[in-house]
Amino acid sequence: MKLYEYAIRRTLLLVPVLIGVTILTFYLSRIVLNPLGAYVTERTPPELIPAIEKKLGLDKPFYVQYAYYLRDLVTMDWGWSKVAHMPVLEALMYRFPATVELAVTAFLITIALGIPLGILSALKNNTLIDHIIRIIALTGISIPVFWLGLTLQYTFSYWFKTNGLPSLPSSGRVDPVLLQAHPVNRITGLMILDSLIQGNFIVALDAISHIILPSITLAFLDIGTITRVVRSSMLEVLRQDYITTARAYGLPRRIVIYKYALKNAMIPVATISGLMFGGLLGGAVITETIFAFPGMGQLTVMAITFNDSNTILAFTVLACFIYVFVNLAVDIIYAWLDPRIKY
Amino acid sequence: MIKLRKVYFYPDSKGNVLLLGGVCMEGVSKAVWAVVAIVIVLVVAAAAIAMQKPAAPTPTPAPAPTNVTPAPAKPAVQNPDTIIEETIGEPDYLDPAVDYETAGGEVITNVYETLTWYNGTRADQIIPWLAERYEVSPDGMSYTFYLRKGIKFHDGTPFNATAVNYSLVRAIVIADPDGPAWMLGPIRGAEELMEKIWAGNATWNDVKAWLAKKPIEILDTYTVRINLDYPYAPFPAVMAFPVAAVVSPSYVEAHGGIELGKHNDWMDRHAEAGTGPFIVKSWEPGVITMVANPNYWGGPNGDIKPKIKTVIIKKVDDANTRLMDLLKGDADIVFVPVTHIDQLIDINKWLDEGKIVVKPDVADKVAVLGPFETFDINFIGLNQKIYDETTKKPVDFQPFKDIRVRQAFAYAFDYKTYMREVVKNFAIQPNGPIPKGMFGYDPSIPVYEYNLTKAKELLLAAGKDLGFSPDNPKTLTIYYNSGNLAREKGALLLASAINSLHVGLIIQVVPLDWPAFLAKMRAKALPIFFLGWAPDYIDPDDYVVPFCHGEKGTFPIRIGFNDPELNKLLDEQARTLDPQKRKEILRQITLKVDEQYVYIWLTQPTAYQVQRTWVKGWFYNPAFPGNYFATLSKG
Amino acid sequence: MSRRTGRELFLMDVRYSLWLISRNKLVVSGFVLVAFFIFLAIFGPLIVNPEIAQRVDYPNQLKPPSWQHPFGTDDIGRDLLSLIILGARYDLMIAIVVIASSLLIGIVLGSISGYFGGVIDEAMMRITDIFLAFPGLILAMAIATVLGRSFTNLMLALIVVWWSGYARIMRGQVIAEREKPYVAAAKILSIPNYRIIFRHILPNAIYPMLVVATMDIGGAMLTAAGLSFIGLGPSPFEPEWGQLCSRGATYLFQAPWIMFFPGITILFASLGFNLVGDGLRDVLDPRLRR
Repeated sequence: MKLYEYAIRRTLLLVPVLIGVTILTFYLSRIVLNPLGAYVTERTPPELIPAIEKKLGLDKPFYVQYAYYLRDLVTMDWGWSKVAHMPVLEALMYRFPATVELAVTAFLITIALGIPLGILSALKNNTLIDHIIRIIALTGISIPVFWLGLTLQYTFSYWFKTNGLPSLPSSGRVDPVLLQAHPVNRITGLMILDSLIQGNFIVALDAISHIILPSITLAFLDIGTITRVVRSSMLEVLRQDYITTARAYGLPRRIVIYKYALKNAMIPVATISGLMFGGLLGGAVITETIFAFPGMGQLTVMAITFNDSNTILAFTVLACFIYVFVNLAVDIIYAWLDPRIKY
Repeated sequence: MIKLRKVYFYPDSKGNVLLLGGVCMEGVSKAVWAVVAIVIVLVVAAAAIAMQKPAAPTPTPAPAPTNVTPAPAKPAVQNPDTIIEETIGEPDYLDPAVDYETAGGEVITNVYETLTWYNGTRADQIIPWLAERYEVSPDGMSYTFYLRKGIKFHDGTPFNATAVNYSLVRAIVIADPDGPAWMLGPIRGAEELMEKIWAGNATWNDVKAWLAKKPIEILDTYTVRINLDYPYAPFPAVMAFPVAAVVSPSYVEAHGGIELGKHNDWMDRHAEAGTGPFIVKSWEPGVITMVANPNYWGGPNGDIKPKIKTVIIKKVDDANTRLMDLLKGDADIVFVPVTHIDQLIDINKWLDEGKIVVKPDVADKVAVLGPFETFDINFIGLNQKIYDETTKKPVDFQPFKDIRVRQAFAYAFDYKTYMREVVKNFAIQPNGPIPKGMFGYDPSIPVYEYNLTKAKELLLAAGKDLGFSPDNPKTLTIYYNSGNLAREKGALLLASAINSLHVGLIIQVVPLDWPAFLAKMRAKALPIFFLGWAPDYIDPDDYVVPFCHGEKGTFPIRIGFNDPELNKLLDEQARTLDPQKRKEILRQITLKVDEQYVYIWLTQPTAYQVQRTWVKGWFYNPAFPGNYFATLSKG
Repeated sequence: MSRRTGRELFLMDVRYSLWLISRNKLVVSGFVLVAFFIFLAIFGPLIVNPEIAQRVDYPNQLKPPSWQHPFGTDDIGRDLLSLIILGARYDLMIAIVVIASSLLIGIVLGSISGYFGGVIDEAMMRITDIFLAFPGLILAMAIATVLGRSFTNLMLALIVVWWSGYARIMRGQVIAEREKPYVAAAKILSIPNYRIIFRHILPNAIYPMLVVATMDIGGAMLTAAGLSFIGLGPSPFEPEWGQLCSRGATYLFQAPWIMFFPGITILFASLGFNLVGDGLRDVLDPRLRR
């Protein structure tokens, strides 16, 4: 079948999964939690409670309540956020570009560092360099995100500054005074991109300096994973017969590696990049809190502190949908790239 | 570096070679080496730095200059037209009729104004503000306000009696039960109407009926008379509270009008309908931007003209970030909790001598003003009738019904250590519900003592009757609102002390988020709780009644305390006009509540203000919820 | 030709595996780390008296590392080294319990699903699809918030997140084994299904799971610590490592050791398990044996 047919088929297969996701979040938000809690304080006289229950539809059977829940989701009425003092969806959407910016930057760093390290490690298998890289990778997957973030923050924002070295800002996304002096119109919402497009290099530089530490923190989580995957995949590929064949033909080693082995070794990377994205979303929650980066993750943590379940569950649904669609996109692109996939 | 080549071999899973096109990545190896080199350089640099990391990383102070009068180079003023404040917390609402917390209060006080207000730094002097003068009827039941002329709202419409009437009626009709509207209760018929609204069965007819009673009369364009249900001496102070702020009727009507018993969402999030020196330009999440009102009328002496064009209030939760921003000059005023103040001032000089001395290496940048007395009181509540939150019935184990237990807890708290180590002596220990500096405070009344031996004696004795002992221990929980470090530490101190006595009481400490904490308190389910009280208006009535009145007081209801004799005294003091007599009654009240160990009085905080040296014109008034920016300038 | 019993062959296998492991220094250090932390977890309260360590001692607060307090003190005045030792119980227990439980659930459900196929299999696939559609940390966060903040709820939340991955792997393994001749032989011999699954298929299918599980213990520890850091773990006064880091973040610039040492402990504990897992994988890889 054609690619678009494959894409459509995959998308349709997603629908039951997405429905299942909403069922799960519905269960969490309405059944496990008492939905009355958001609307009733102890000042409410007991006679009013049946009326409120009726308004919320709590007297109806579960499937009807679920239908209401689904309808609310689809019509973008995701409830009121206690911590943001505005509708949940509005709050999340406002912060959405910041998280995207952070995740994408981290992803790029991960790939830019992880893949070359993995290749190097595989090529120099069992040498000192290989061992060092393996240890770095192993450390990478053992590091707690918050510890790394805090340590980087301490070192590069505080210690550098108090010892007279040029330092990086410890929090935030951009300096508001600078922004006021050189305003940037919100085109994509991605600060760095918007300011570059408008030629506003001062703000762009400032935004980059703010995003360095959080994105390195986030990136470190997955550098280890990618390095290891690339390494083992590369080793696997190098063992194959066709590589030996190519070498036997007299092709120089470099060409063999980079033209033939590399492309095939990259296949698992494509596969796990979708998974990594989920890890990035999760890690962003912690990273944004540490660096006070105004993204969705920071809002969610504030919601946890204030027990604002509306926000938390809305974020869960949103993150889930994003994750699912990113994976879908990755699968489709991957199917397009790799001719061996029969679709 | 990336070049397209033509066709190459491409194996499938069985090793058969196919032919396909593709992309070549020449030059990747160079990139790899470059990246590896950079990484290695970074790692080595980090290691080198890490090895030099000092064990106690406080900024080493610059060596003091050797000449007698050091002249520190003054840093150039950054952003001379803008003041940036960084603080914790964000406003709940910007609508003066419903907001009842300090973050919103700060903004509201700069944007909206009231008929009366405080005189400069004096919290005990109420002067006419938007009103030129006011008269009280001999029976104390009517206040006539003569308004100033020529004042305009931010939207250009004129300030007059109609606007005053509109604003007060609005606050009462919205009647937010969690808000400050209750303070307007003394106005004729207002309390009755608001109770109906809270019960959920009020209609616009009820409002019309109320208005027909003429609670507020518009005598002419600039004269308004407010009638009360009973004489109420603190009324001018109530009119100074933001709930009585005057808003522009045409603006409100253009943005949703007045709804019975419901907030106006637009007014909650916008503040551009007042008469004050500033207007809120925008409220993005975490950042409020205010701009100066160029047509501000200037205050009673006509001399207040905002010199700053823009005010930015940022919510920054992390204390370290706020400190760094202050030192960098990116923030002008920041909130520094006592846990971090030792980075700016010489803490030993403060602890030993009571002097605030800024550290020499930051003295050219940072000023710490103070100390200032606040009228806040932090206390521990001991619940004498604990309820179960779910069953709504009293629980079986009621230790605090026994005065010995309450007294023991008062003896078990190490006040001095708490003062010195936790609050860093930025507080004094109160001796009763009335704070020092307020009318009615009696310094001769003693504070509670710390005496573990006595505590143990009392608890062992009480344990026999109440059924707890080292072999048969019972658990109690102290709750506090999460995030409040001072209360957390106090709770831990108390718990740790009682647990160390080994008398059979095991104390746990549990944080709750603020709404859950309030909910539990209202359900009377908190056995022990740490809480604070800030004044709504400056009068001892605002303290003794909420703490001591068994029927009307906020707290006695929650802790099952009701002493009829005390109630009588309380009612008496509200009506007594002779200051000497009133003082004596207040003294009696304090003694009575202290000897029953109803509350453990913890601290009356001492405030300080942290700002850049180039900020001028700031003054302190304990009644202000935050900074008043109209008098500030930079230079 | 001497014949060895199956049991003897198995033991020889194990001995060989151990020998392979011992040759790899990294893996050995991993085992040492793991053993060390497990020792701390079990004997922690015996080494350090919990009541004394947790006592409030404000005059001693925020002291930098010294001979008396090798890791410094926190804002309540507690000795950080003692707290870290006491805290080993929490993180290790949660990691091991979570992985063990998820493994158990995943193995049982995965085997049934893979062996019987058909509707059961389809249903299981869909269900695991749903759970796997959530990014792990985020689902755990949602569940822990909804259930309420406590140690056991955190464990539950993590188990709910983790089991589906194992179920899928097990299912895949069982499907691969199912086609093999010995299974057909067992069926012909009328061996009951459950016996086939658990006595015959399982031992063959389980090796990859063990590797994944061991490495996942480190991952579970990190996730648990992370969730605890943002406020979903045990009460803020328990010496759990993530909790300690969270307290330390407030005092980052004044007293960085409060955050630093618990965090680095988590790193080493997690590293230990990951090294072991890595080593196991190398050892069990059939191509590297013999």
